Amino acid sequence: MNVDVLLTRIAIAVYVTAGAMSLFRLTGRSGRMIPVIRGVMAFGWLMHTVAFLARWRATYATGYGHVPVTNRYESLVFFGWCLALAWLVLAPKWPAAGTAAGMQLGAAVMTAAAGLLPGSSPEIEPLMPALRSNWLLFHVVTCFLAYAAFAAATFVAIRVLIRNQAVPGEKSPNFDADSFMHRMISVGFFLLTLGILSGSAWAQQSWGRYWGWDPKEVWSLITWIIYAIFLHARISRGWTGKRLALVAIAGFLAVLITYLGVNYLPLLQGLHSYA
Amino acid sequence: METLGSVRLTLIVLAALLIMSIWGTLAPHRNVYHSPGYYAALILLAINLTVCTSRRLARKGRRFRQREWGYLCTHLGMLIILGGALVSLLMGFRALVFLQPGETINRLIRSPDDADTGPGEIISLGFEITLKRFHLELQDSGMPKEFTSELHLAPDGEAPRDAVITVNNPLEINGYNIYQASYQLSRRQPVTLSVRSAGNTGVQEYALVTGEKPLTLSGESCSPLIITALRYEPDFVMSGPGRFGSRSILPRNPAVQVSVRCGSDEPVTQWLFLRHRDVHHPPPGDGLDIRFTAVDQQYDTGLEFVKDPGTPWVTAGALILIAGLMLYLFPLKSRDGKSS
Repeated sequence: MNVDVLLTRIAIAVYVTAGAMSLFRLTGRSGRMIPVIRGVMAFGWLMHTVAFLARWRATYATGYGHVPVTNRYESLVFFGWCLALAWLVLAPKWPAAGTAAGMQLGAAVMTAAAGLLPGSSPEIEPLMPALRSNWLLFHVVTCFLAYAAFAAATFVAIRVLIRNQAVPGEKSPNFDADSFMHRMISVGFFLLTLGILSGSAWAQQSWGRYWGWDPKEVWSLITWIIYAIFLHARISRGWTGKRLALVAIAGFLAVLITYLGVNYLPLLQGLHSYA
Repeated sequence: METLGSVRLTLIVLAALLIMSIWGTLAPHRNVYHSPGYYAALILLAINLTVCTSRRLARKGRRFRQREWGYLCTHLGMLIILGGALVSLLMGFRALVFLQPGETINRLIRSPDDADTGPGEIISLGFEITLKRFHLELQDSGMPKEFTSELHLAPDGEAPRDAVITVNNPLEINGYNIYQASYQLSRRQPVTLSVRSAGNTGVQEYALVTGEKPLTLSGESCSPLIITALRYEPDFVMSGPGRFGSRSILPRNPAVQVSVRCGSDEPVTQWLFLRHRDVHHPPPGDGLDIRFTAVDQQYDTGLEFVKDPGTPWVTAGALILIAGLMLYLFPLKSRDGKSS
C-alpha cells in the first residue's frame, strides 16, 4: 500500500473517533472534552496533510507532477481535508456538539468515499492534457473551500430545523444560528464565485468558450443562484429561522449534485465527467 | 418602477432561473437555456439590477462607504457579465474544423448551433492554415495523454510562418483564437496488404489508403484483380449481423474491410485482421490469399476557431464582481456591516 493511502486511512479513523467523541458530548456528561477533540482532529488533519503532500510528490513519477486533485479519488480525499480544515478553523466559534460531529463524520465519510465509490481508484494516473493548467489549483481549491463553508452552514441549518432550544452539552444557548449560516454562506458564496469564474477562465483557455451549458456548469450556477437567494432573502427581506435554514440545505443539495450527482446520475452526463 | 427594482422581484426571477436551469439539465434536448423563457428571465434580471442599483445610487445624503461600493460593484459586475454574454451570443463566432495531415483551408463554415444566422454560412478567414503534422499520444485507457498540431500559416499579405497549438495554448491570428479542441480517427488510413494468388509463388506487398483509389493487378488466375480498401476499424467489434464498429480508438484489433474483384466475377467484400492474419470474414475466393500486414494509424486534428468580442466584457465584469463581493461581504469595519 502506498504511504498516502495508509495515512489517509489513519486520518479517516481519527475523524471517526473525533465524531464519536462529539456525539458523546451530546449526552451532557463530558464538559472538558472540547480541547481533546480539537487535538484529535488536528492530529487527523496533520496525517491527512502529510498524505496529500506524499501523493503530490508521487505524481512526479508519472512524468508530469500535479497537485493531487485531478480525479474522483483525489478530489474526495481533498474534500474531506477541506471539511476537517474548516472545522479546525471554526472550532473556537463552533456552536454545537451535534453539528461538530456532522463536520467530523462528514470529513471521514467523504475521505472514505474516495476508496469506496465505483470508478474511484487510488492509482496515480498521468494528467489529461486539458487539466494541465495553472487554473487547476485555484479552481479546485476555491470550489472545495466553498463547499466546506457551505457544509458548515448546512449542519447548523439541519440543527435549526430539528431543534429549537439548546441541548445538554451544547454550551451556547445564545448562539445565533442565522448569523452563523449567513457568515459561512457569505464566505462560501465568495469562494464559489471565484471557483466558477476561474473555471470559466480556464474553459476559455482550453476550449475558447467561457461558458458551455455543460451539466456541471449549470449545476454550479444553480448552486450559486440558491445561495444568492439566501443572501438576498436574509439581507434585504430579513428571512430567519427555518425558512432560511431550508434555503441553506437546498443549496448544499445542489452542491452535492454539482460535485457528485453530475457524475453518478446518468441523466446529467457532461464534459466534467473525469473529475 | 417600485416593483421593477424590488428585491422581491430579484428573488422571483432567481427562482425562475433556478427552476428552468434544473429543467435544462434534465431535458438537454429542449435547449432550455436558449428558450424565450430563459432569455426573458435574464432580461428581467438585468432590468431589476439596473433599476435597483441606479435607485440606490440616486439616494441623497449617503456617504459612500465600503459596503456601498461593494454593493455597487457586485451588481454592476453582474450587469457587465450579462451584457458581455449578450455580445457573445449576437456577435460571437465559432467553428470546429477537423484537418487531415497535409490539408489546407482558408475558409470555414459557421457552426449551426451558434447564433441564428442559419447553418452553412461560409466565412473567409483571410489566411491559409495547413496541418503539417498532428501528434497524438494515447494512454492505455484510450484517454489522450498529449495532442499537438504543427501548423503552417500563410496570412494574406504577410510572410508565412509555422506555429504549434497544444491543449490550453491557443493561437491568435487575424482576430481568431484557434484552440486544440479535439481529434478523430482519419477516414483515410494507409494500410499495407500482402497478396498471393494461386498461380504466383511470391508474395507482394501493396500500400493502399482506405476510401481512395483501388489497386489493380494482373495475375494469372484473375485478370484484372481489383482490390479496394473500404473502411478501417482500430478495435474491431461485430455488434450484430452485418454491423461492425470499434470498441475504442486504440489499435487493439485493427481490421480493414476490402472489396476484391477477380476478373469479371462479382466483387467480394471481406474483413482482414492485422492480429489474426489467417482469419477472413467471409472466407476468400479460390486460390487467393490477401492479408493485412501493417497500418500507420492516422488522426485528424480538431481545431476550434473562435471570434468572441464578448470575452473582454465578461472578463471585466468578472473582475468588478469579485472586487464588489470582497468589499460587500468582508467589511473592514464591523459597524459598517450591520447596516442595510
